[in-house]
Amino acid sequence: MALRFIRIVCFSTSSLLKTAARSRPLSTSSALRCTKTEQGDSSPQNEQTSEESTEEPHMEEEIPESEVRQRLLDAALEFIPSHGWSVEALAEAAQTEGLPAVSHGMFPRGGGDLALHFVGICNSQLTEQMAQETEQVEEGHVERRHTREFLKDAMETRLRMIVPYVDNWPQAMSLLAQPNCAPDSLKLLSSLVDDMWYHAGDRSADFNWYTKRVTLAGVYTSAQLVLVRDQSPDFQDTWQFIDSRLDNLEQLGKAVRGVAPTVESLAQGLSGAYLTIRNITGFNVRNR
Amino acid sequence: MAGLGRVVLRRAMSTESKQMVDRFIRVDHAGEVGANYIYRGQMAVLGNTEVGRVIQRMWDQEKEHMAKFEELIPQHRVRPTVLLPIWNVAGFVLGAGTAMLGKEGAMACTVAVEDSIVEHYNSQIRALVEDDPEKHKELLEVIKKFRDEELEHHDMGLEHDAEAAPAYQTLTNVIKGGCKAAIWLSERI
Repeated sequence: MALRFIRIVCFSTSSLLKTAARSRPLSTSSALRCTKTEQGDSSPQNEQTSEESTEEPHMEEEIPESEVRQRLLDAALEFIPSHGWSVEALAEAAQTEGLPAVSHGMFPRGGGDLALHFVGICNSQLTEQMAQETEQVEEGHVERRHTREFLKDAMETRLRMIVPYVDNWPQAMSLLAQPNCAPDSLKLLSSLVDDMWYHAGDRSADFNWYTKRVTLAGVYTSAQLVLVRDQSPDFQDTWQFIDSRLDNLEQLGKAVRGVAPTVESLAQGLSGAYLTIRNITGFNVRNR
Repeated sequence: MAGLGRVVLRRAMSTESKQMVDRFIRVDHAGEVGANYIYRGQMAVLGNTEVGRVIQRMWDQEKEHMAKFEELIPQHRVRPTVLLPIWNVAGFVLGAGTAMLGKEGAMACTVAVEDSIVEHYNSQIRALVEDDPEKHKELLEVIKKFRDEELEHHDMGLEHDAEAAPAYQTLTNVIKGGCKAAIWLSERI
């Protein structure tokens, strides 16, 4: 029952927003009236009573709901320091955007949706920067940077995007880890590390593809934890942390490369043993 | 610049056809890696016999195929299958195991595997043509070329007495079933 109610609220708020968003600033009550007219209830009486009847053609122009959502989420970031990653921040944003405060009903995950949105825009910002560099490299203007250096810079750039919200970041991290957000947040993390490796010049097509991404995701996640507790000037400790983790990663890579030839020689050894046995038992005869 | 063009092209593709292309490249790459290990297994056993040269020739072509898909994976930003290490071992064991039955066994294995792969490539070609032959031109050319070469391997296997292998029907059916299962899995994970 409660669930149904929430769905009804969500539905009605989203239809409200379609009309209300374009004609801001509108008060909540006038927005309500507009919805009525939009929903086909355009009897002559109604139009006469409605003050906004002159604005009607303007209102019929529908803004896609996704755009309204984006705008609301963008606006909500401003209220993070004061309200945290919460429904309240979304409600405040709705007010400044001239939307009814109940608009936050569009975001069933509340603060979680807000945090996911923030992670998403940060990721695409970083990807854009990295893509620009890749383009320069491919055009031959600049030399490709050493993988390690590139990854370190990318990590630092990405983590610095969190800095303005660092005090509230632990809350965001816990929201992102909740069951209703975790799948999306994992997707964002994997696309982040995938982009980092791709633009760092990694072209692996074997199992390394996974080990590389998983280890980098580990470094990034733990670096976030270091960042939120970092008291050093300009977060020096965090950058130091990334540096040493990448050192470990490099050593790990070397160790893996060291193992590969061993596997190869093991296969050779096995086939050698097989040949020897075949020769001893005389099975070889028919091949001659 | 070419790289940027590719990125733009990739974005321009609809999600559905992008997903299809991803799936195709992933499974084809896995298949070629597996085939590589099958021939490697065969060579480990039969490398020094008179069919060694025939197998080596087929193996060399498979190496080219694998290299091509290794190129396509980062180009299309496709995730390789998680099962790669399993296909490595399974391929080697299958190759070496059938080769131990003698050269006919190895050839029967080649016939069965290549038969499944040709069928698989054909169904991919159909799907790509149905979707948009212009958009998938590059991939179509690659797959068509490889399909023809795999078909050659299939015929070569038959020429080299594959049908004289012990329990030929059963053996090929089992291997074909295995290939189908492997394709099904690699497309998904």
